[in-house]
Amino acid sequence: MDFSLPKTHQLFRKMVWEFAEQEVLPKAKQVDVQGWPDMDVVRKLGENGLLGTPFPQKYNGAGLGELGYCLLMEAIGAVCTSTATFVGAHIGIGVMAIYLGGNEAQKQRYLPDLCTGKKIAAFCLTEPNAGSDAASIKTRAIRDGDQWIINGSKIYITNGPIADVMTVLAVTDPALGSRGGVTAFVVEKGMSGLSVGTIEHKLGIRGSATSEIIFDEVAVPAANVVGQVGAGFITFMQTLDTGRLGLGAATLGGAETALDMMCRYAAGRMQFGKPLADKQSIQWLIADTATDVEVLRSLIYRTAWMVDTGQPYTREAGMCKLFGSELASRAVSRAIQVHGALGYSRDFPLERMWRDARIAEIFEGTNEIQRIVIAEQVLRPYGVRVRP
Amino acid sequence: MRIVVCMKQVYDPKTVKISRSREEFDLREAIKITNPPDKLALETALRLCEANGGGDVIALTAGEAQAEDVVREAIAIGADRGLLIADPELAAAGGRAVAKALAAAISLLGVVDLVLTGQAGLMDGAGCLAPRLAAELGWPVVLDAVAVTYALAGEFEATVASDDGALLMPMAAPVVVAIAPGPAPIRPRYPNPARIANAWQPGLVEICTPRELGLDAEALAPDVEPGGLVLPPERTRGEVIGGTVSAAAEQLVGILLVKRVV
Repeated sequence: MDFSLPKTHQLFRKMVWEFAEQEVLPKAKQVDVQGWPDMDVVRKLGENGLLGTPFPQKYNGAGLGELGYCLLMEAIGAVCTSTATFVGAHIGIGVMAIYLGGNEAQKQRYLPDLCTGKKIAAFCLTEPNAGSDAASIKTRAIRDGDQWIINGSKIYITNGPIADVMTVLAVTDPALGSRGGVTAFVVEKGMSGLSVGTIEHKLGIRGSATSEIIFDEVAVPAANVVGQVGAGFITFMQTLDTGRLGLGAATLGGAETALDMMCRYAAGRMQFGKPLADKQSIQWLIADTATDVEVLRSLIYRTAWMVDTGQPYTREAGMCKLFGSELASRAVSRAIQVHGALGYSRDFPLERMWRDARIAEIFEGTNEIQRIVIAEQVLRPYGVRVRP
Repeated sequence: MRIVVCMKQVYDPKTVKISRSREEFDLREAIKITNPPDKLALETALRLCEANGGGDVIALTAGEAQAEDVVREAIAIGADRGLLIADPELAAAGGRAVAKALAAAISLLGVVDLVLTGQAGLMDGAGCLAPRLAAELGWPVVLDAVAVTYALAGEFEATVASDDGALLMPMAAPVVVAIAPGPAPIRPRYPNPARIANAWQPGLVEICTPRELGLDAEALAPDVEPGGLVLPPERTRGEVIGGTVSAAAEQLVGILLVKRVV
């Protein structure tokens, strides 16, 4: 058993942490206040080859696999959850859906510009009446000669207002439902009838752009069907599986930062003539958080290794997202407690981190859905069929 | 244009501890990194090539097998080729032996216009590699350059920081230049992720030994023998002088007089 990172990934890890600290961290407060991404940071992510981290080099990716992607998300998540959310929506689900479900021509056509950040991707699944119950989507695509006409709307779409390329799930055969009646499409900015609706004002991850996307008689060429007609639901579910892992990696970064801040402050803050870190009550908070972080890191890196070596990972990816998202909230909450009133101040990053951490328990499959996914995998050998 | 960048692997000073009880450096958790000024030299080389229609940037290092990581990192950042003179004794042998080995490797590379290196290593900060290398190669040397530009055929210009501004120094190739951070140092680029993924491919770094470069035992003999490590005295607690500026100044002068500092 060798738990060390490969040399390539050791250097990549060093690079992304430096990048995160020098390019992303200085804008973390600003993007939260302005409620919009910093397009300069987005440009730098692309120029430095980070927006194609997991994808093969023949598509302008870095070829660093899922492990590389997790290291990227961990580093960005450690300094700015909003930016990690942008990266996750772009690489982890937006581009990933084309990479996992698309044919070679589609990958050749879309991935090179998406991997270099010349174009930004979004993933359009959620609708007003279909969130966790993704199979109940109503957005409809009807075949018309060599094109499809899409009507409907999607909500809470991360990167929606800034995306050039969107992977969109729509019903193509209502009779078949999710088993063959749902198809994924690549929809491009500028297509007639496509528009950005309401921009969401959120509690946290305010530095990521989230909006409604409206489809009004949008004509999409048949060549833009991702993979096969009717295979969309499977493609989207597979995409969410890997997306979950990257999201878990971002929560790992957030928890690591919370732990680091907690330790620094406890070591320096004097009360009753001694540093806070001398108090057992504080030591226990730190020991518990450090243990949690170590567990999550082991789980994330191992699951990334499972993806890169072609093993099934649905169960583990769900665990990464479930454990990571709850840990991030818990770790930041503990860090606030250690900092006292300072932790509650808007002059200090912890209140932003606290608001930001909360979303991870909700998006990319609520934690309730993760528990269903995990239970389904765990109970299957016992002959139990778990259903939502 | 062909530029050789001499790069060195050093311990990250933040990770080196000093054991007072054993009177030695505690290197158990020390991490090895590329000497930061050498990264400035690499960045200078890459920018020179980019601004003048391309060229060859060759990263060169000498040391134990682990020093290969420095060359691979340089390739990930943008170097076209990497060379390692592998010898576990070389680093211990001192600056003279290292300069001889590097010079021998450079002279085997054919036409080279520039040899760049960081002004000083993080380890001892001696800054003697560039002059030694120039002496071995029989080339001129420019120290403390903060920038290098290409002027015209075979001519370069170095900007050397001085107390009252900057000195522009024309240089004819080939020349050895030591790059210093200067008042507004250039920022080295990040390694490229795709180049990182490819940097550990086997055969990418050319490895040779000092003997293969024609260096004998005499050339590799240490020129300095370390006598031992002496730790500086432990720092004592400081004293904070409060009060108004004039009262504090008076008190400070009093202390300095008592301690016979003034």
